[in-house]
Amino acid sequence: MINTIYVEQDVLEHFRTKEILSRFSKAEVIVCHHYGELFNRKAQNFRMQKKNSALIIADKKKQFVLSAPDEYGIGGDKNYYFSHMLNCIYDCRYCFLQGMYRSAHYVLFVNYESFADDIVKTVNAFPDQSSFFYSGYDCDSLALEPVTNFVDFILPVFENLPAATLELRTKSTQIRALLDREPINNCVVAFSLSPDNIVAHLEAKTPSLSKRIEAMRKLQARGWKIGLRFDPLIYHADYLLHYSAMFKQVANALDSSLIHSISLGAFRMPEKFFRNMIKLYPKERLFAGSLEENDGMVSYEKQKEQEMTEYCHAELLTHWTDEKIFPCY
Amino acid sequence: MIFITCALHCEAKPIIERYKLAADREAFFPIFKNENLVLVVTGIGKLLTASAMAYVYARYQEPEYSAWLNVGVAGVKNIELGCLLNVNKVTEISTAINWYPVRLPALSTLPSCALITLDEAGNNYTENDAFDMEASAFMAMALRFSPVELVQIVKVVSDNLQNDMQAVNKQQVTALIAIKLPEIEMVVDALAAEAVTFRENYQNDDLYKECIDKWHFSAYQKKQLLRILPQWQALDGNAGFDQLTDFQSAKHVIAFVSIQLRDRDIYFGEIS
Repeated sequence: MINTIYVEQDVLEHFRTKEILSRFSKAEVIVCHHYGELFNRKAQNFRMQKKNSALIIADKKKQFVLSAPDEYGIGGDKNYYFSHMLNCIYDCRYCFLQGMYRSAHYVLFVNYESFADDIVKTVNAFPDQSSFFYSGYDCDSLALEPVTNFVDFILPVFENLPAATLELRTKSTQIRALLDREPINNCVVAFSLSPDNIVAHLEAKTPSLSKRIEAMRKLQARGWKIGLRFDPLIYHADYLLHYSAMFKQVANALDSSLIHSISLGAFRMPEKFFRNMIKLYPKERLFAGSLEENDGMVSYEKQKEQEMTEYCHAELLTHWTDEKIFPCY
Repeated sequence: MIFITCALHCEAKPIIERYKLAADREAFFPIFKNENLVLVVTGIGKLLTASAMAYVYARYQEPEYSAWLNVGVAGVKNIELGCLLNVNKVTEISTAINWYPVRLPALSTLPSCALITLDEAGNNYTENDAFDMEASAFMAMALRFSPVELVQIVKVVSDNLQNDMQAVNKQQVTALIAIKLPEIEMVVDALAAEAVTFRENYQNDDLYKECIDKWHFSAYQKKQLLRILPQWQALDGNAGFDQLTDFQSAKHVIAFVSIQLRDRDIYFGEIS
């Protein structure tokens, strides 16, 4: 529930702002000069804000499309990401956003056209290369779709860019916008998946594994390409049993031959973000134990990480073919 | 601890009486306190407000998770006298800097407004903004000491387009605040609840204090200890001082707890 909406002065009259405000007629609207006044301020607590996050409606001025981190690819020549939103309605304890941002408020940039222009320009700069665009890097791509209607806007953009592929990364079951239209060939709806015990303990406010599977099943039946994202893998007692049971559950529910891609990677985090996360959650079990820092990244001890990823990779191969699997390690 | 600031004694008087606050007669500002509240009468304006806040903060040694509340009267063009407003935005007119106090869910029934802090008293009212002479300094200082979730401002409307500020006397200000004491109590209670949550989440518990008392930890070791002790307790229900008492030094304590963390399986539920 969103009780407070901050709106940048410059987009107060924007048609998307008006649409959103009309959906939240009981929310208190506060005009701000620039979203950074709220979002980037020191002296705020991400964890406390998460209990009562506000929505900030803003205008993004620059850097609409950015190069994706090296390990983010699933086969494209060029990999990019863009963030029409910052932050997420879910509260996953391993999420890097809580270590990266000072605020847990949701920022929505309503100038979607600027993102589209930059995407087209980026694709046209390398016409002979395949490019992937990830939309769920700094937010969940679908979780706030009923409010943002971003998918409705961006899919026709990609429909006209056959050399480019859009990945919508999500844990959400808000798939109505996708079910209500014809699928497009160059869009992958990629679901982040974890075993039920991890969902229950570390992915607060998210749909259960079975609900995510049901959403994937409906999308697949409608003809959408589905991606499976087993990232981050969480090392814990009995993880072998938990992960192999989940892989089996997913494989049994979906048509494996129609899966677009599968990625997997163990929990890892830039050291700076990790330090912030420990400060926010000093008693969190996830952050205790076999983690070590190497070259600015915190991850499981090498041996444990290798054991877990190799085991999970081997388990995946019992259900899917190797050319679909993209390890992020 | 909740620190309350008022610019004038006539604003503070009903709060002092309600909470039975006793004067701290050795202080350099008019300060009134009980076990949970410290109220300081800052005087009018930003400089005095900032000075008084720094003074009470230093004097009462409340380093973390104290809450700050500014209570006062303010002018608002079109809002009736006596209305209590929970401020949601503060703009300092001389710098155009904005601050945004959080709208706490517990206070959502209170009407809210933006507020402009002036350098000099004035009655050039704009639409529905409130005006005062202290709030920007209050925000700037409070956020030095506490997170924004522990900072609130409430103003009672003392003057508007029909009722000139010059006509407001001290007795009227006191009466305006007194009649809004139930709402002010609500704000105090909401801040106290937030502060409790902060302390539950973050305050060092007895185990840390016992360790610091028994062994000498360097500054770096204290940081390590602050990180690993809560994790040890989260993983091991039996974690406690009795497991550490035989160790000779801080180094041994840290080594032992670190091994406990490394060697312990982390459980996230059973397989169904």
